[in-house]
Amino acid sequence: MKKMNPWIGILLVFLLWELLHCFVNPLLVPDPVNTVITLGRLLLFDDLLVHALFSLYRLSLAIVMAMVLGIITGIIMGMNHVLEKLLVPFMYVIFPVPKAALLPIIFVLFGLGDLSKMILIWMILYFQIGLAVYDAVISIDEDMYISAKTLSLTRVQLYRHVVFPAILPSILSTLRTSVGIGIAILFFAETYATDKGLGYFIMNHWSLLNYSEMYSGILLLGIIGYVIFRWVDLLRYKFVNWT
Amino acid sequence: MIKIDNLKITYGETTAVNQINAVIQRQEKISIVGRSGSGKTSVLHALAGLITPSSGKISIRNNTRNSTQNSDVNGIREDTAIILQKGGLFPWKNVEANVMLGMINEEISKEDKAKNVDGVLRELDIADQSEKYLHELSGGQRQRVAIARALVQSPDLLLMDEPTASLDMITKEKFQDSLVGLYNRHDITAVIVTHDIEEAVYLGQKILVMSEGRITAEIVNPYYGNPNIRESIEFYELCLKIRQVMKA
Repeated sequence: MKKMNPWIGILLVFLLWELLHCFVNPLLVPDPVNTVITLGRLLLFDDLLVHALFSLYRLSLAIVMAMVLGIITGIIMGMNHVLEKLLVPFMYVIFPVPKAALLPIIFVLFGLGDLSKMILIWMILYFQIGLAVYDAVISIDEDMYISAKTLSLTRVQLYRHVVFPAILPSILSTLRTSVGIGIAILFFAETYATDKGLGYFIMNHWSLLNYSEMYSGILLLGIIGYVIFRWVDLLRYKFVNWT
Repeated sequence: MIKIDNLKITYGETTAVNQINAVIQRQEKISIVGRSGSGKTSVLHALAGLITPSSGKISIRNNTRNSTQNSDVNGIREDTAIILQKGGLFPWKNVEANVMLGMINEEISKEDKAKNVDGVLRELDIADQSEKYLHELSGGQRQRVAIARALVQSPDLLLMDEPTASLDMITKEKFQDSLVGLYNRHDITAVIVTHDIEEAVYLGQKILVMSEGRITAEIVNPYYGNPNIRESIEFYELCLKIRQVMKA
């Protein structure tokens, strides 16, 4: 994995933001430094932290469930030819359906609470992760299986020493993409039927024309995404150091 | 002793190996040489218990394998190690872990396993590479790791499928020399499959020439074991003889 300096990216974002602040209406694009100060104030003395915790709870639970079930489904489809014939066509039919459009149905079926929001995120990520893992499993070199056979590996040993490590890079790449998509869906899901979460916080302050607060919420959402992104990179660095 | 009786291997409509017979004595070093598609790899895989014969049988020690009898596969594999064409190593494991896998089902302590691995890596002169991953090694070093993984299994029978196919000429010769060293130090029966005639002659006491699924010649190599054989006229005369058999 190539090492990179995150400060260059952060500096460029703030520079671009400052330029927009200077050349666009400063009321619509507040000063980045003031926004960071506002963010600190909102986190320490207001309820932004509560909104962030609600969002993190929904996002992390949905991603974990999507990863666990997606990985299991992908491995099952890749390793079992009967289930492959049954499940892969189903996944391919469902995958392109825009799940966000199913939000009203999800609300009807699962209520307006946290569950429906998490199910929406889960539904979008699950199919993507399942198919990515399936692709990774069927891409494992046949030689690896022959090699496992010559070593007389048991079924459990085969999964532990061959299948899982072979698909781990794909799993972590998919997790990274899923975080980005998950945050986008989270924002969308939190704009409906809730008064907690960063999506609600941002849209609420937008409607109240509190742009500094609105930008603080956006900044925090970005920071959360970035931190998770870097955490996944660390996992790659630690566990996929053989590429 | 290994006995191959009327071995036939088919893949669908295609016959890869067509009723061959051979006897390999204990501790004998055999080269199977032939063009691509001659069936040599199929014979090796059948010896390793990786594929089931369509008809005929293979007897290794007291274990027999034929088209209906699969129960002795583990008996065949027990003292057999195979080095696959591309090494069959796992890129996500470092050298030590790859070699350690050779003993995964052996009931000895972790310390003893580590000691065995270290010993074999030292013997093959790659002990200083034990922490490295495969992408950090040269082609020759990777093949040594594959051999190390085979050797820790303390096999009676070592099978090799074109282990030098991806190596340059100098690395290939060095690798062949280290194989001869191993042959001398270990009491093993070895079967190497190759399309390289010089390699077959250098590494084989007996050379089986295969063509279109059949053994077309069985040549005893009187020069086997001579360290300077590669520079002699006799060596090239024997190579030429095999070449003519293969072209016939």
